[in-house]
Amino acid sequence: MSQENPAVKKLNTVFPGVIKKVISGWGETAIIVDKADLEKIGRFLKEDPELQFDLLSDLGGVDYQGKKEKRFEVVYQLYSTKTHQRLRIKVEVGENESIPSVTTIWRAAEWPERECYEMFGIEFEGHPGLNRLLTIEEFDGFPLRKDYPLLGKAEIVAGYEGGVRWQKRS
Amino acid sequence: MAEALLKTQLRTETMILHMGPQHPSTHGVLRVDLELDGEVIVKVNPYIGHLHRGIEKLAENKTFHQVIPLTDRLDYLSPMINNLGYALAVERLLGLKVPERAQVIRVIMAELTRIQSHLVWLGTHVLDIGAMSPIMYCFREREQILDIFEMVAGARMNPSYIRIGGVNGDLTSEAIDKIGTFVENFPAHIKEYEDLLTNNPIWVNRTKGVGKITGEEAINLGTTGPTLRSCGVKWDLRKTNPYSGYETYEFDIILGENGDVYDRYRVRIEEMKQSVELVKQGLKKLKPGPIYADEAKVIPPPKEKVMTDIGALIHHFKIMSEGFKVPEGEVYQAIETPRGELGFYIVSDGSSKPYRVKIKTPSFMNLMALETLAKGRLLADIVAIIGSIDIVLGEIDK
Repeated sequence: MSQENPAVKKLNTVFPGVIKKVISGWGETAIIVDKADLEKIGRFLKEDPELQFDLLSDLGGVDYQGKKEKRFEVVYQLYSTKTHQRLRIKVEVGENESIPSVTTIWRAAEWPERECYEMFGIEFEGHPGLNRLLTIEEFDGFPLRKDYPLLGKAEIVAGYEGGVRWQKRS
Repeated sequence: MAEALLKTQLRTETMILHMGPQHPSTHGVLRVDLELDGEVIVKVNPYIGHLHRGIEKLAENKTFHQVIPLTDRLDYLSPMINNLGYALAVERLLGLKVPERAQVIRVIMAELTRIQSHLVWLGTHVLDIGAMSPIMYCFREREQILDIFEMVAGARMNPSYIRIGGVNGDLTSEAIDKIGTFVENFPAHIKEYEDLLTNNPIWVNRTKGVGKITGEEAINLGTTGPTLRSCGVKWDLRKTNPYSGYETYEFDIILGENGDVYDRYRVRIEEMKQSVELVKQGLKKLKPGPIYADEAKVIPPPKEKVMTDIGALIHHFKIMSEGFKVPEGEVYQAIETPRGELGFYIVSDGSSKPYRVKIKTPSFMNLMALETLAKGRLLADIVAIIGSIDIVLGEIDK
């Protein structure tokens, strides 16, 4: 059933063995690839005249702490504005590992990668400016990790000249 | 000597101007650092996150049903559409089939939401550029839509009306009449706005050719919705990847040509007209029937029964406190909001709480295009450009 997806079929013929696993269900197809192959596959999917996955809809991380061998997964939602098909690419990333940035393929990845970095602590190699995006620079920790407490590790107790002061929650 | 004087007295370095976070034309709390060479914009650096509430983290700690009120607070100008996107994603995971009547009500509500969101955009955008009157007109009509929401859902701003498996409460005949009267009268009001703006030389001069972007660039930057359609890219999720029965409605994708502020204005005005037609078609399709899917494990029993029947009371309590279990798996559901593609990527581990909810919000991606749109333009244009991409900080900061 999964073999019917044209993108999977084409990837299997052009880059044999590159797709580690195909997950399909609910009318969607996801492929798991190695992070070393990510850039190659991404560029191919975007530039191939039949597939044309020109729009990166979304990019985000998932924390599978204790559930999978490698802790994180970075998920890319691709869409083609020409064929109106979707494809999901998943890349497994371990803790303290980095992953190549796809900003040179889709510029749309710029902010989502920054968000993913600040929320999970996954570093993107080759990103033009990997800083925190939604939280402040002094923020400690990566809030969307499963071991990060819902109330936060610390709270701002007072703003004073030259910055803010954080107090650890007891 | 003269050269030395020039060097010391005529400075040519660029200047940084901080705009916001309390600037009225940033529509929320957005800070933009502008690097200016005289009056020309060299660099644009938006700082976001002032409104970050951690909705994705909160969602992981709530049951599937309890996430709905959080979605209201993403894009607070189109809450019903956010509800719809989330509900559709969970329904797909559950394999629920939503009854016909509920689907039609959803479309009617989504299109009314689109109109009221575009009305707020039009009023505030035009006000930013200097025209005072349209905002009065726009809010006058928006008020009527909010009255309809209040009648149908009980709340004006955060209705949480579209639920998993259906909608919360049927449309009464009064509400249907009110919607009917509104769509009858509204096209005349659109004409009022257009009379004030479309051929107004001041408006045209301020917007034509400003903030231009090509379709290819816009796609590369991930922009969606009217911002992308104004460049002539024919893509509307309601048409190309239909949901909630949109495939049975007759409508066209509205396109611009030049991808400038004026074209974005034209696209949104036409979309309002189109939404009116969609609501009219929806009202015709409205047939009596159930408004909730037939799945007792997910849908709470009707309120009247809860008050009289102990079994129903226990059932209601169980669904509300414990939640229902959603099969293991993951879906990505995208829908067309007034701003573009809103996507919910939900990972379920088989429990009653979502394992991960990743929300793709359209304004987030659209704002990223700000630098491309504003580079090389004059300082005065930045206000027009920010207004034209119609950002809502609630969904950018999540």
